[in-house]
Amino acid sequence: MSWTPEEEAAFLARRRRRNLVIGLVLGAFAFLFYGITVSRMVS
Amino acid sequence: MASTPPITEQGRAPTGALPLSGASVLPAAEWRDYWALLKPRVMTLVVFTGACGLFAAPGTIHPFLAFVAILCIAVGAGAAAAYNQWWEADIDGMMKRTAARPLPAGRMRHEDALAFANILSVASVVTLGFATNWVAAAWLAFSIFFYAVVYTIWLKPRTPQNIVIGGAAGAFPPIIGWAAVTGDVTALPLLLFAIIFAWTPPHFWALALFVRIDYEKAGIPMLPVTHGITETRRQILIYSIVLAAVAVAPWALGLLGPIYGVPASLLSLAFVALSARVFASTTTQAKDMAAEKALFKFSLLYLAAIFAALVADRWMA
Repeated sequence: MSWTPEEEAAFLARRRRRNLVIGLVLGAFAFLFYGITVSRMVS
Repeated sequence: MASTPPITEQGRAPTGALPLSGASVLPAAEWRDYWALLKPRVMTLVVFTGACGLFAAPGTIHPFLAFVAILCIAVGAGAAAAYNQWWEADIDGMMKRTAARPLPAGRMRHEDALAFANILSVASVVTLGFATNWVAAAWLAFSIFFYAVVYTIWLKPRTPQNIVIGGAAGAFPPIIGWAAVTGDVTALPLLLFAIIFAWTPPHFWALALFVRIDYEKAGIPMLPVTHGITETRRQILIYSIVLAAVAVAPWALGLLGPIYGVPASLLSLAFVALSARVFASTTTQAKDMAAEKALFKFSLLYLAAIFAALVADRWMA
């Protein structure tokens, strides 16, 4: 037994959304460390 | 030959050879499931008390670093919650209140939840250390360890005093917030710790009284299950009196002024009065436990108001 096309499409959509969120979180993390560095330099 | 690209993630072989029929064999967690793993509603209280500890501390901190510190406290608390759900997935599946969580509902694999908790723990502690100081980071690391190991794994399944120990686990945020500014821990943050520590048992036991059937089914030795309703009501009253004493202590010791002391005294009186109502109640039916439900709701307001008064006192004095 395998997935129906609907199940497969739903799975791929879920994975795409999750990957997008991971990308955003990693970007935010990089920005966070940039901000920490700048804040520590000026304070 | 398959016309779709091979999917190698979370339970499905590239050939599609595994039996696949619904969420029970195909966990496909969404970002919302990972978010739910952090227990965001509990995190709200942690963020609030941590921020209050930070804002009440003497000294200054760059606003962005203050934001990072609060964020790290929140993420650390989320990591602890993720460990908790990872460890208790089987128990959560037995209770109506928690059965829909990502792990018991089969939407997430156990190893993914554990990896998520590990990553968040390390990231929150290291980031807090770099952003503020390593004293605060050490307190955060200890609080995650305490909640995940000492409370969740060790004591919660073994003793009806589990909530008392859990209270300690949830009481660290103001200490961490304070340490993030000052780099040390003095009497006032320890009293803030004591307030949350003493607040937790009556808060949770009030809830446990009207959901005790769930705990009984899951085999968790909560006080109403092991020692009965009457004893739980007595313990609620005792802890409420202790809480009232601890809550007014910062004023009595001269660490805070009347802006904190007056509302803290009035709120504590109301807390004890509501606890006395619980103590006097005789009902055993959850649906009739109006006094317990009122105490539970008031306890949330109480803690928020006490900590708001603390910050107001420090800023206005």
